[in-house]
Amino acid sequence: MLRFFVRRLIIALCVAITVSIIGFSLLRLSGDLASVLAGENASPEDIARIAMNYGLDRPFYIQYLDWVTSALRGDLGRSLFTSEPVSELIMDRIGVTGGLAISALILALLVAVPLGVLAAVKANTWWDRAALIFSVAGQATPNFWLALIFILVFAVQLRWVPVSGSGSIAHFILPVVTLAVSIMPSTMRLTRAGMMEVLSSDYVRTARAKGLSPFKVLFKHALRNAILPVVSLAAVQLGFLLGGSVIVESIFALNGIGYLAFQSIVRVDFPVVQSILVFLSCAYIVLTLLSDLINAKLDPRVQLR
Amino acid sequence: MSGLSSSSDAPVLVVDGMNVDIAVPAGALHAVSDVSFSVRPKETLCLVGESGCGKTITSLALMRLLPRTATLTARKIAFEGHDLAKISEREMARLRGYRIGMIFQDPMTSLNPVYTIGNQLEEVYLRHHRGASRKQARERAEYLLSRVGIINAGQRLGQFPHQLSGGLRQRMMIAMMLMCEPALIIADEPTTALDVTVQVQILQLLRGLQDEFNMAMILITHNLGVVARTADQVAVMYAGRVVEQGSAEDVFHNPAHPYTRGLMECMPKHGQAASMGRLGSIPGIVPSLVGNQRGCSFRNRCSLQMPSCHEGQIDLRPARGDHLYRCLLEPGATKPRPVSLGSAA
Amino acid sequence: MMSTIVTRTAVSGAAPASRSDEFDTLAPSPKALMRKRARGHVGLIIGTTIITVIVLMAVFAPLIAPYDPYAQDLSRRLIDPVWGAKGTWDNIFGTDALGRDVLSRLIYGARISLLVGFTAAVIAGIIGTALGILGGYYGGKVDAFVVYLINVKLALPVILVALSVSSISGGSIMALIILLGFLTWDRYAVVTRSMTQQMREREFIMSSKAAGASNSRILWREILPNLMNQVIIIASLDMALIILVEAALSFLGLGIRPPTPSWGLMVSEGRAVMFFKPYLIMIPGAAIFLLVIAINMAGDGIRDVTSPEGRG
Repeated sequence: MLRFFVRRLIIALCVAITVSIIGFSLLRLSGDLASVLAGENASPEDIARIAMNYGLDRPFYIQYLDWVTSALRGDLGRSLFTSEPVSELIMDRIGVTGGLAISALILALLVAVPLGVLAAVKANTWWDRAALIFSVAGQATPNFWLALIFILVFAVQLRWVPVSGSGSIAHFILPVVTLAVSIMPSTMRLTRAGMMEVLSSDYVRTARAKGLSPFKVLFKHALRNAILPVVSLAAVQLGFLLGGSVIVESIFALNGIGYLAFQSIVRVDFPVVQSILVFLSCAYIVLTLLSDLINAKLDPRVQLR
Repeated sequence: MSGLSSSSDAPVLVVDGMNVDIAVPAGALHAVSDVSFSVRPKETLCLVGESGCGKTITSLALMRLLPRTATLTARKIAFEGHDLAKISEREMARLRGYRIGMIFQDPMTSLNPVYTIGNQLEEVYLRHHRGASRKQARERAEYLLSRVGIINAGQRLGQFPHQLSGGLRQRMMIAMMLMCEPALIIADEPTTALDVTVQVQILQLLRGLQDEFNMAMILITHNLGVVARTADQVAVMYAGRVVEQGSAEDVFHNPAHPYTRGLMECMPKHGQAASMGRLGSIPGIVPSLVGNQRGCSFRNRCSLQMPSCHEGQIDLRPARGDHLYRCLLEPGATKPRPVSLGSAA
Repeated sequence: MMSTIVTRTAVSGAAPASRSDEFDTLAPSPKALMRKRARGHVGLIIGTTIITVIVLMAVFAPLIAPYDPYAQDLSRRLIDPVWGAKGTWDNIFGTDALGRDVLSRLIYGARISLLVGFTAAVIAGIIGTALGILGGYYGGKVDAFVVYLINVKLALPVILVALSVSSISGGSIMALIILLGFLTWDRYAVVTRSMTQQMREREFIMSSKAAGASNSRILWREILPNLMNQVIIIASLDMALIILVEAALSFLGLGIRPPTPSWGLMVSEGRAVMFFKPYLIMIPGAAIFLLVIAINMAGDGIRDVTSPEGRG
C-alpha cells in the first residue's frame, strides 16, 4: 500500500517537473518573446534591451533553473504590467476559480449521477433516451455560447440574476451552471455504463437473492461499485474546470485565475502566464493523486494492485 | 449414494407445469418447457444436464430472478402456501434469503467486493428480522461462519471477500443463505468453480447442514459424481425439458431414456475421482429452442432414432411407479422398435 | 498515479477488436449485419446527413453563398434575418455590424470548422495511435514512457496552453491546426494502447509471430487494421472536441483572426450587439452545435454498428 503510493508519488513528481519545463518554455518557444513585447515598430536595439531587461538573452536552462529555484521558495516573479508578485496575483484569485470549479463539480454530480442511474435502471426506455439526448446535446453545446444564451434568457429577459460581475452569490449562479453543464454529459455516461455493468454482475444477483429491497440493491450494492470510476473522473474534471473556467470567467467578468491568465496572455505578461500554466498542471497532478487515495479508501481491493 | 432418506413429510415445493420463454429477435425461445417436480424437507433433488439445457433458468425462475426478457408461466409453483408464479415482487423479495436461499456457481464474483463479510451476512438477517439489533445479527453471523467450518469466525467477519480463497468464499455464501434458516435452498453448480478436494468438502457440508436445518435442496449440476453423492431425486433435463425423473436409485440403476443412458456411459467407473464424471461425450448438438418443437428434441443425437421421433408431442410417461421418462421406446430399450407405429415422416 | 485513470478509460472505451470470428458460420456475414444495423440506426442517418450537407456547403461555398463573406456594406448594417421584423429575402440570416451577409459568412465558416477539425484530428490520430501501438506492443520501458507522455499531456490545461501558444504564434490556420493536433492525441493513445495489449496475446498475432513476421509487419499489417474501427470512432469524438476548442479560441479572439469567417469568431463579433440583435450570436452558435452534434451522432452510430455490444 505504502510502496504503491510512493511509486505513484515519484511518477507524479517526474510529470510535474516535465510539465513545469513545458509551461515555462511554451511562450518562449512559440515566438520571439522580446520582439513581441517590444511591439511591431521596435528597433533591434529596443528588442535587445528588452531581452536583457527580462533576462531573455540568457541560455534557456539557466532561465528555467533560476525560475524554478525561486518558485520553490514561493517567488514566482513579478507581473510585467502591474509589477505585483505573481504568487499574490494567483492567491488573490484562486478563491474565485476554486469556488467556481468546486460548486460546478458538485452541481454536475448532483444532476448527472442520479440521471445516469435512472438511465441504467430504465435502460432502453424513454427515460434512457431522454438522458442520452440530454448528454449528446450537452456535449455539443459550446460553453461560451451557452453562457451567452443564459445571460440573454435569465439575466436580460427574466431578470433573475445579474448579467456579470462578482458582487454577490447571485453573480455566480450562471457561471456555475454553465461550467456544470459542460461536464455533466461525461459524468452521466460513465455512471450509466458503470451501473449497467454492475447491475448485471453476479453480486447484485446475490443481493437480490438475499431478498434485499430494490432500494438497497440499487444504492448499497450497485451504485457503491459503479461510483468508483466516477470518483476518478471527478478529480480529472475538477482539474479541467480550473483550467477551463477562462471562458466563463471572461464572459461573466469574474476576477479568477482564468481571467487573469487570459488578460496576461493578451498582454504577453509571460511571468504570470507560465506560473499559471505550471500551477494548474500541478493542481491537476495533485488532484489525480488525491483521487487515487480516495479510490483506495473506497475500494478495498486496491491494496492488492 | 445416500440412499432413500426422504421423509414422509409433505413437499416444501411443488412445481407444476413450469415454462420459461425468453424473447429473442427471432421470436420466443422456450428455455424451459413443462417442468414439474416436488421436493420434501431434508430431500435433495438434483437437476442434471449439459450446459444450456435449462437447469440454471429453472433455478432462477424459482427465485424469480430471471432476466427481464424472460416470462415465467406455470400452473402452480406451491411453496409454503404461496404460489411463486403469482405473488408480487414485494412478497417474493420477502421470501428470498428468508425462506428460500440460493447459492451461486462462482464465489469469486458472487460477493460484493466493497463490503466486509460481516456486513454481507448481517444484512440478510436484519432485512428479514424486523427489530433485530446489529449485535444479534453479528452473533448469528459468527455462529453460522463457524457452523460452515470457518475458523476464527469473529476475525473473518471484518475481512473483505478478496482476502478469502474460493472455498472459503463459497462457505461464506452458504452461511449467508442460512442466516434465516430457509426451508429450501437452491444450489446452482456450487462446486464447479472450486478445486476438486474442496468440492467434496462443500458437498458434505451442504448435506450435513441440510439435515441439521431440515431443509429441502435443489442441486443443479452437470456432474454425475455430484449427483451420485447427494441426490435423493433426480431430474434429467435436455433442451429445456425433463426427459427423465425419479428416485436416484431408479434413475441410476435403471435409466429409461437413451440420453440418461448416454450420460451414465460417460461416467467414470468406480475408483476414479467423482469430478471426472462430466457430461458431453455424446456426439451431436442441441437443437435450437426458438419456435415450436415437434417430436423428440434428443432424436438427432440418439442412436435409436425412429421416424416417429419426428412427430407430435412426446409426453412423460411412467417407467415404473414414480419413475418417469420422455421417450417412445420401452424403458431402457437398446434397439429401436422393429415396427414403426406412426406413418413415415 | 494517473495510470488508474488511463486504464479505466481504456477499459470503458475499448470494445473488443474483432468479433467476427465469434459469429456462427450459418448467420449472415458480419458485413451484411453491419449494413442492416446501419440502415436502422436513426442517429447515424441523421448525423451523416447533416455532415454531408455541411461538407457540400463548405466545398461549394463560392457557388452557394449569395454574397462575398468579406464585403462590408455600412449602409446595410444589422439587418434582421428574414423572420425578423424588417427582414427580407435579400439577407436570409440578416447582416452583421459591418453590413456583411451572415449566411455567406456562415457558409464560408463551415470551411474553417471542417478544415481545422478534420486535419487536427488526423494529426492527433497519427500521434496518439503511433504512441499507443508502440507502448501496447513493446511494453516495458517503451510503454512506461508512453504512459508518462500521456500523463504529462493530461496534466496540461488544454485551453490555456492553446491560448498562450496561439497568441504568440499569430493567427495562422496552419499553426492552429498543428497546435490542436498536439493537444488532443491522448484519447487515441489510451485506447489503442490497451487494445494493442489485448491483441498482442491473441492467436492471430501469435501465429504470425511464429511464422516469422517482423515486428513492423505485425504492427502495420495485423494490429493497425484491427484498430481502425476504434480509431475512427475516437476521431469523430476528437474532431467534435477540436471544433469546439477552435470556436472557443476564436471567440476569445486568439484563434482564427478577423476578418476570416469562423463560427466562434462570429459569435464573438455578435456579442457586442447581442442584447438587441440576438440572432447574431444564435445563428453561428447553432451552426457549431449542429455540426458537433452531427459528428457525435455519427460517431456513436459507427460504434453501435461496428460493435453493438460495446454500448454505454
